[in-house]
Amino acid sequence: MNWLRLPARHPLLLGLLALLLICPLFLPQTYVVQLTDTLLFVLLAVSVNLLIGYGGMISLGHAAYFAIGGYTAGLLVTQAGMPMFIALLAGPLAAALAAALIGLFCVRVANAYFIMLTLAFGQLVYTVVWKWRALTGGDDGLVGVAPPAMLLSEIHYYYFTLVIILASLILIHRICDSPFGTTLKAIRDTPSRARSIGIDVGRFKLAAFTMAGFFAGIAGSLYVFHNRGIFPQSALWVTSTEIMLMAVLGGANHFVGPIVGAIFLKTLNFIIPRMTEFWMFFLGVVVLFIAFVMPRGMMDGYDGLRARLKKIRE
Amino acid sequence: MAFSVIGLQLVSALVSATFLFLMASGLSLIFGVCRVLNLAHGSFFMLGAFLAYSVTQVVATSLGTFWLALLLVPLATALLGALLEIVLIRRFYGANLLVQLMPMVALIYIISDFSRFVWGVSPGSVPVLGLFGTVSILELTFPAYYFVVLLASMVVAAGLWFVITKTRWGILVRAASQDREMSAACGVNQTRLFTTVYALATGLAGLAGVLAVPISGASLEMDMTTVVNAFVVVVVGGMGSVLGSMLAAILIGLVNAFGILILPQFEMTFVYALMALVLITRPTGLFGRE
Repeated sequence: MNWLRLPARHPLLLGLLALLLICPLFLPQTYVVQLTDTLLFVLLAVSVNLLIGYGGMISLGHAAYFAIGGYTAGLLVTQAGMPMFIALLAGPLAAALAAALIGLFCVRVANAYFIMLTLAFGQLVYTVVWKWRALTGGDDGLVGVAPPAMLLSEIHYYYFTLVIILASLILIHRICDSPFGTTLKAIRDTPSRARSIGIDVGRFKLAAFTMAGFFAGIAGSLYVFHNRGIFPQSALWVTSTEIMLMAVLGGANHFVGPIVGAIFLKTLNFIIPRMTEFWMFFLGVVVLFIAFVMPRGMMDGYDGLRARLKKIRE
Repeated sequence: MAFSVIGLQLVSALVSATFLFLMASGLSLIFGVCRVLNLAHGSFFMLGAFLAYSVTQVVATSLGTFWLALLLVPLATALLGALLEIVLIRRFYGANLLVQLMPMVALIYIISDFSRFVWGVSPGSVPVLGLFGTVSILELTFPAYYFVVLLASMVVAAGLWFVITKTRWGILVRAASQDREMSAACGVNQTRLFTTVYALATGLAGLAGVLAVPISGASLEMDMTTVVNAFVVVVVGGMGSVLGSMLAAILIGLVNAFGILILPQFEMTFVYALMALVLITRPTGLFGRE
């Protein structure tokens, strides 16, 4: 059981888990809502890192699958009167399907082309969601999506989300640690070598893209019940770049990097907009600062700091 | 389809192709020479549009001030581009793609909020379209301004072609985009070359912004909308080819203009279908190199 060793290897993670389990019991409701939101973005950041960190595919369109998962789940509940658990299954599946379809084109190219394409397809999804008023409600958003009575209280929904997010994270960690994950890393490092030893590069990339879309869909369908609805902005490039930044600022070459990044960015996003209206400007400055000081992310900075401390002690 | 409809769509297709070409050629130049993906290219376009709006607001809404803006604003965005290249972008050459992305995204955020701070959330318009009058061709009436835009793009295209194929600077650009190490080894001052390329490309983006503002106004969303459209052009035309950018821009302008007649709400479906087709048959774009 490889994943059982993960918390032991990262004492920080174990402490975090304990905090996540106990804290909400003593926190006011606003903070619980914020924590649930953060958890969803943790999953988004970790799922996009399956592409960025493990596959070397920098996706700037991840919000599209988040939104597709959210809209599918929301529409099934409001239009078709489906129960929540079916919506929670169908949302991720729809997102995975969309990711498989879009991925079919995106994995044909690499590097800068991949960035441009994922961004372009992300904006396509945004435009469709925004313009297809009859189905999605357009600017007015899809509203009135409520979870069943049992999960109506914020704290109940928090624990419900926590369980699903943790299960998803463990699953993603298993995927990263599996032969599939290793193959993905081999493709990231030298695609030509991977191809020459008989790996079907395109198929592995597409599989990773679909999986990342699936997990983004889980976050999306949980979000729509949490937020009681969803708006086209959820698919906008701003959401995609924020998810990407969470992974990169936290450290794309660590499994826990995106988790740290998501918590960092969501905490800033909670505090800063209360002080200034210019949140994006502030975030831009933060990103520039990190790009100069620790371009490989905060987890790398943390590792470097630990190594330096160890040296000093010796 | 009526003749008048076809004629109108044809002209508007060429006009939108102009903006796509000005954006995509700059992106292509920066990518070819500096090897960075200038994700913030649309931000310079937006700045160009807002600056033109400010010039006409401060001085007067007249043809004279518009010409003035057309001259000054591209210079201003080029200057800003050169400045940003020197203090920021330059430090990330040679870093991996992921690290290069961070200052770009930061620039997009900062310029976007800066524009919101200076110009506010409501879009600005420069109503000079009427001042240019109209032109009638074969019973069809077009705003004369459309032909100003087309003429400007032709001048730019010819100028780009001349500069890149005939001048010493153009030779250095081609050399650097073919083999950067070799051109450096031959003693080309790369630092200066990269700054000038960046300035030219951001100047073109600013020019596109000024030219667009009488037609579509200046708004805060135009930065990403435009850069995404330019990306589509680059993917279809192939990175690193100015001719490819031009032909792809015209092709996409046409597909867009006629797609709007078939599916008015979802005209971009056709553009994306075209892009998907190109990706399946030629992943490096119609004119791209391996």
